[in-house]
Amino acid sequence: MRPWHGVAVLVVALVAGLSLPYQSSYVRLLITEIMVFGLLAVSFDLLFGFAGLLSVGQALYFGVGAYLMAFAAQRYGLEVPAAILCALAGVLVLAVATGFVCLRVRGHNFLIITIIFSTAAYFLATNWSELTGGDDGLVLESKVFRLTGETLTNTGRERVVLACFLAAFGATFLLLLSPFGRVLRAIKENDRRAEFLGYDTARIKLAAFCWAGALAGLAGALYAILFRHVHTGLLHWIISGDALIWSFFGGVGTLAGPVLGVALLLPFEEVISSAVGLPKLFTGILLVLMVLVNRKGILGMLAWLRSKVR
Amino acid sequence: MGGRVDFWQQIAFQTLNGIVWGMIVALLAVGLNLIYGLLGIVNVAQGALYMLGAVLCWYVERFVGDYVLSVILAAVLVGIFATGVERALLRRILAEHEMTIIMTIGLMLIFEQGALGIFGGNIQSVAGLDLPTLTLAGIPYPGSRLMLAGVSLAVLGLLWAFLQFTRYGLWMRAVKHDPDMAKALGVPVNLVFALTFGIGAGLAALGGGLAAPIVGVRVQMGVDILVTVFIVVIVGGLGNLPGSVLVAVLLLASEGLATVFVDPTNARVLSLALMTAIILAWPNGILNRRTVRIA
Repeated sequence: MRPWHGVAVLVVALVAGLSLPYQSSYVRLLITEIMVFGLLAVSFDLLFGFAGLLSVGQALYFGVGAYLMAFAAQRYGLEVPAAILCALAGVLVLAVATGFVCLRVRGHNFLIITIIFSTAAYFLATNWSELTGGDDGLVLESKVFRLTGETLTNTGRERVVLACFLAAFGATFLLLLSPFGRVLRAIKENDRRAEFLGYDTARIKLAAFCWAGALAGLAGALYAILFRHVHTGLLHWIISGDALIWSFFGGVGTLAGPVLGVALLLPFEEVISSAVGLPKLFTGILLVLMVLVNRKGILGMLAWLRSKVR
Repeated sequence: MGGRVDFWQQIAFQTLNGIVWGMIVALLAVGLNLIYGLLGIVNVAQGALYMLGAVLCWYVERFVGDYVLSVILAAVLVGIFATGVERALLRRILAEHEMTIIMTIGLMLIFEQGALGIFGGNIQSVAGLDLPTLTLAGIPYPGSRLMLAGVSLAVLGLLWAFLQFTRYGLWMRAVKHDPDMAKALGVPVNLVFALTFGIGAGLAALGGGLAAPIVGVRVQMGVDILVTVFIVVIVGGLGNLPGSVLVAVLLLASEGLATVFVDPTNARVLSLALMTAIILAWPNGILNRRTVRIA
């Protein structure tokens, strides 16, 4: 993780975000979508790339964040910032509870329990369709998203996404540059040794788990704001799988890489699906090629190229 | 007292259904466990191979007209195909768990989207065997389903015999124990790797072919079963093949039993909760002895 990578992501996101009013609606959606899923991918990377915890359960927090946002705005009429905070608080409580259980086991068992939790949530949500709307989900009218008494316009909602992305990505980046981030990496390298050095590794891992859950929950809340539609599919492990794909494609353990992965793969799939069809087929081919050619993702490949040029 | 009899019949019927499903899941789980134990590949594409088996079975049956032959053909074809994939791609990253996850996710996408492109996205049905309904202890049960569980059991038995009594089986166990030493002693390690992956994939495809008559054949069917298979392998214990079979049958049978009392979705949630409790209580799998962790 290099500091300038983080700065680059923030600057590019800011420029892209400020240019939104001058873009076509198609490009606007794509840019904001990259920010939403970028946060989800960062959430995966924080756990796997920094704490060494392979979680395939981030969809749980993503989906719950999206639903809490929808309920807070639609049922309880909260304004957007309050609704986002409510969604975050709810996701945090869930992350503490689930993290406490998941982190009791390690390795494969951790992975399986994260899948179990998100799968169970998916089934429960599908069954409770009066509340969640099931597979079809809930459609939110644009008038439920209000700020200082006024209904947010499309541009307004995009600005919320931009602001949240900048704040969350920036804060996560600073967190991982801080001593906390270094301890986290020490735990990834060898958690026994970190424990002997006097760190409360269980608590630090739980903190990282909660931060990652909150990031995924924020991404879900932003998804609800951007698409004005939430459905139970957001809880499915396939979403977690996407986060994993984006992170590895961009470069795991770099925080900027996962955002880059989303920024490359989403437009790639858009182009392929309009030109040839079956976009995921080509994503699959890219993944296989990536593993064969370069295992460290796009950022790793760039570093390698740079070392060759020198 | 009629109602009471119906109740017990329903319990027996649902449990039997669960056992039949458990035997199909067991095929996939044993395949996954075999591949992981020997090659160190976390095969996320196992569900996609199951789907390929079912889809090929449906496709071949339209030409051959014989269900049994199509199941066998589908399993063998997928097994050969998977052997090629192992030789060409997965061979390069054996035992690098994370990389195998990424590559097999890629392969899963390729298989699923490829099947979607070639065979289309419609839900297809396969007629299956036309066997009479049997009466087991007063409970009528379709004979074709019992046959299906029986075939699965027989194949798993054959696999056990193969691993236990043939030269290949001995080689497999030798390679699992110590690949370098096995190689030095003249075991064709590459052949063993390829064969093992082919068998593991073929088991998944066989499961798909057997499941084809009782579920709709569709491209997404692998996604649904994949989580169950992974849970079964972990709970049964990594590298423990009988454990996988036992947990598959227990999990699905208890899920079937639960559907008598709650709706199917809540039954799944209950079984997931049970599995979580088991993982927390026995982190090494229910049949594996507690191993001393070094380092």
